[in-house]
Amino acid sequence: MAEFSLPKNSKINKGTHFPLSGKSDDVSTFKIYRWSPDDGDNPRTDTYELDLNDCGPMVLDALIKIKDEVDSTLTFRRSCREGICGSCAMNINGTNTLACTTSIKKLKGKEVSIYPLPHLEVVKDLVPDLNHFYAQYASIKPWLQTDSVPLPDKERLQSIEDREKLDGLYECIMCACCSTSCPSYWWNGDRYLGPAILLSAYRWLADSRDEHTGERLDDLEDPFKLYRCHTIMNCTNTCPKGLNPGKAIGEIKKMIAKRHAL
Amino acid sequence: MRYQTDLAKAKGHGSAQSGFSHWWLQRMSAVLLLPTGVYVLWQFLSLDSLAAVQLVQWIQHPVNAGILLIFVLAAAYHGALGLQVIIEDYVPNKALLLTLRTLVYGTLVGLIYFSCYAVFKLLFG
Repeated sequence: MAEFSLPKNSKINKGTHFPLSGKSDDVSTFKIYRWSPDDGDNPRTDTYELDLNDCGPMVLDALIKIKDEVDSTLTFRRSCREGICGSCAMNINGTNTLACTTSIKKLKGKEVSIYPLPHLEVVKDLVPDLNHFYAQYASIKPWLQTDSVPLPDKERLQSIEDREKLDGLYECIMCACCSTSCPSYWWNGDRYLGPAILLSAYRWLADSRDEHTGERLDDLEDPFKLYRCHTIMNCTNTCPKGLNPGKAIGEIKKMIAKRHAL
Repeated sequence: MRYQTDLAKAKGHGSAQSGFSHWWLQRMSAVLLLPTGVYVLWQFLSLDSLAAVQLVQWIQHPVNAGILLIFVLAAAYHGALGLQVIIEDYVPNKALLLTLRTLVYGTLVGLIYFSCYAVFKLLFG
């Protein structure tokens, strides 16, 4: 559903400024979205000044430093700090990406704006509600589906060429950067599966060992679940893992076209 | 308040088992628009003037009439398909959505009728 202005209780106010204590020749300002469900206040942006000489190189290092040393109430998700868990996905200087793999120095300007992933309900600060996203993932049955029973002492064989078809698909870490950068997902995310889920759906469609290709395509052939993709390609632009969900969606459309005797 | 699991919400009413024909026809109408559009534009630019008499003479040529008709119908259909997508994307109110969609396709039917009528009238009198 299209929303062109923020609801009253989502208007962002100016928050607290936390200046750097002491002097430094390399200061960066972090403007961070804050909202807590507990106080009933509108969201605000707090600004934190950090000495980059005394901080790790990545945006996640800065967030951890703020939480540890400046403001322990700042809330965000993080785990692996090496771009494999997808927990620290957030909007940094207008781009959805992973805080742990984003270098502060490589960002333009001395001010870094950090917001939660767009168009999701916020749980607190930089933590968005991903329940629906994960439920959509579960809905595509992201596992190998077979009807034939393999011999107990044999594995399901796959040629090297067929295995290569999964490259660029299996690496998705479900960080939701792509889906939440997609306007179609913003407006119709309740029904449109979004690029991340569709890339995962294609990962199983492209798997030579899977026996439920037809059923998977049946489930996807829908004006909203699949065809809300208008090849805007924000997904591919923003993917922090360098994957191409736009192409995967195109491949699903091609598979459906083939079913229609084309 | 409706108690429903996230998975039930995500699955919704399942797949409508459609969407392909809309997607395919949008592309096919675009493919038709390209050569016919270039032809019509090229022909119009080649005419000495765009006065009504000259345009009527141009349309009375059967090849021109055929290509013009294909161009107009493909453009109208392509436009209607595109507008349908925009409406579905941006109009959350179901009653308004149905009204607008009916209006778009009603206009399309009108366009088809009047274009065919005008061209055939000029061709066969």
